[in-house]
Amino acid sequence: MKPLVSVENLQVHFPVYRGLVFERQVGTVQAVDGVDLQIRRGETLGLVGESGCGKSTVGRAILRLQRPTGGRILFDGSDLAGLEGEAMRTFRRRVQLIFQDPYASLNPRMSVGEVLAEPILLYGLREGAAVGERVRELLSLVGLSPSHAGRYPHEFSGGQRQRIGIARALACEPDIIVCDEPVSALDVSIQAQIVNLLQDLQERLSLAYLFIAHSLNVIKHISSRVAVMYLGQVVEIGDTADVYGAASHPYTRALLSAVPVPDPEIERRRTRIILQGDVPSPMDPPPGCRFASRCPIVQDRCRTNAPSLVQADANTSLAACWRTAESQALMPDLFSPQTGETIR
Amino acid sequence: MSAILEVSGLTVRFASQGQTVHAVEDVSFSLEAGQTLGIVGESGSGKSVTALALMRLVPSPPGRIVSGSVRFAGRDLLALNPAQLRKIRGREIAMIFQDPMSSLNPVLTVGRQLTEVMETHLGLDARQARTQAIELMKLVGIPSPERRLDEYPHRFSGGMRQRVMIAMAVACRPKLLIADEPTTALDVTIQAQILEIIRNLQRELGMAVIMITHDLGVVAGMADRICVMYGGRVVEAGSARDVFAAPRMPYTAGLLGSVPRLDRPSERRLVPITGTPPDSVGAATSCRFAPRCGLATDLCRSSVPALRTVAPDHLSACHFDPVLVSGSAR
Repeated sequence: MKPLVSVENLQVHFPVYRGLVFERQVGTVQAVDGVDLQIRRGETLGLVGESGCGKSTVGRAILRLQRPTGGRILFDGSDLAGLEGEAMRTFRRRVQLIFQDPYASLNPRMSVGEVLAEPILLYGLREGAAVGERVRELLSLVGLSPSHAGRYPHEFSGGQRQRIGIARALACEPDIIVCDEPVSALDVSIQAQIVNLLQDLQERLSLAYLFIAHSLNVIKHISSRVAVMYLGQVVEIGDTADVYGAASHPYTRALLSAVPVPDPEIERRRTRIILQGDVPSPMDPPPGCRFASRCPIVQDRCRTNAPSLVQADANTSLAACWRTAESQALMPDLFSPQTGETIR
Repeated sequence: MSAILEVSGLTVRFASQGQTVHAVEDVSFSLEAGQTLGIVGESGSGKSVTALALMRLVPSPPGRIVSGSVRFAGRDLLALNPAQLRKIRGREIAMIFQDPMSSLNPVLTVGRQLTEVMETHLGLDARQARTQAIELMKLVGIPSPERRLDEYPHRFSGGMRQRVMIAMAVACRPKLLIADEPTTALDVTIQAQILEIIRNLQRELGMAVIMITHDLGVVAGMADRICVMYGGRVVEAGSARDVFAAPRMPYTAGLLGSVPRLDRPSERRLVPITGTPPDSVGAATSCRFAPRCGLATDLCRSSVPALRTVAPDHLSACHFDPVLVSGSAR
């Protein structure tokens, strides 16, 4: 089956200018540099990475909010760059977005009913009395009372506002929703409510999600497949169970080892990989492997030659590392009983 | 061992639009030298206000410490005059915050801010202070400290700024470090670096640490003892091991059930806590958690449960002592 979204060698570079009068380009931020990924109908692809890795830029490019400087994105087989007129309108309806901060994305002067009715009317999805009926249906779909249609955004709590944001996305009857950090501003107990809601809706409406987050445990919970990004590139991609169960890329293993687990026993004896230093600047990424400057198992060739995504064996994910075959042995299991050693 | 910090009956209220917010209500705990206490709670639970109240930093008005005592190394901090308090703040008790950028002065070099602490509290001269500052920067893992000392905060990354804050905090070898969400704004690999620095410094300097966070994983890795706060009150307290392995208060069990876990298969659905956290307006007449609790009865809705001992060294504020399995409020 052909994928719903296909990202091919995506490149988003931002020019950097300096000088007020004689403005000149002094460099390029390589926010996204050569990303390939696919999203199938009805699945959740988790896109995880630290701040500045380019994960949100990938999301924005898929939404066509950001023009790629290279590569292409196919939605349902057609190239986004060529969309115009009615085809563009249909695309805008079928690909929706929910944001991290639902309050900033809701118009404070519009009642929730108006917020939800707007896309329905705009796309002519319902007419007359059916519009109000649909608004009430959407509200109960996301777990809000249909009687709340007359209230304004400030009357709701953070979790309820995120539910409104989800209902607004659903009003367009999309095929895919790009979720950019949808739960990271919410309290733990509310996060779980929203994660469960997104999972229920996916089951009922066979939606696809591109779930962008920095939280590895939320990504693990919600995604069927996961892509890990570092400095503008995908360093590992595969089924969630493979990526989390037997990560092949040293960066993925370091990320997983850094996530605290709510169990003092495990915390005490688990193996920690503590990466040294910060992420290099995307304006001047290292030549070879971009992770080389922080990698605990770096070799000489890593600094000069960039590895491409390869599969070590049939049961692992794709990883961009010269040492995929060895990395698992070099970095021991993360959660089984250990002596609590630290790898740097 | 004797306690270095003993908080008892701490109560802080805020006046807000004619209403009284009971931000912190009758909070008691104690901490021994070299120990780490984790205070866990969601937004509005009163955990940060508790920390500010310990240092007498609650903005007043609208805030007011209504009652309670904070005994630190034999003195009641709530009874000290401002001059006496200044000698303790930054020297014996230091604090680091979530956002290091807004806690650093943008128009002073990092070096100036570091040396100022030591000149003020330890009476060092400029040369000595600079030498010390370089040592401190090395201690918290800032590369090429001699050069970076003369740079301004905006030249530092988020993780590096937090290192500077930690260096300032430990400059006078405090007996107690209060860390209020120190890694919340940081990426996970940087968080791991910062937590390791705090752990190592604690071991070297023998400081007690109060770690305030909403992240159950962070406290599990750092804390010897835990206080869980909800609606301004401590609702469960005990050793980290006991609280995580056998929570006695339904809220704690609910929190543990809400978090997706890396160390477990993810097929299981999350068990969220229904409803939303309370706003703590007005005096409590019932268990603040009752509206969200699956086990609540009429008793819970009509009287406030006291924090009581339910097992050796394990306290819980619940009218009942339900048997709860960690990770689910079944």
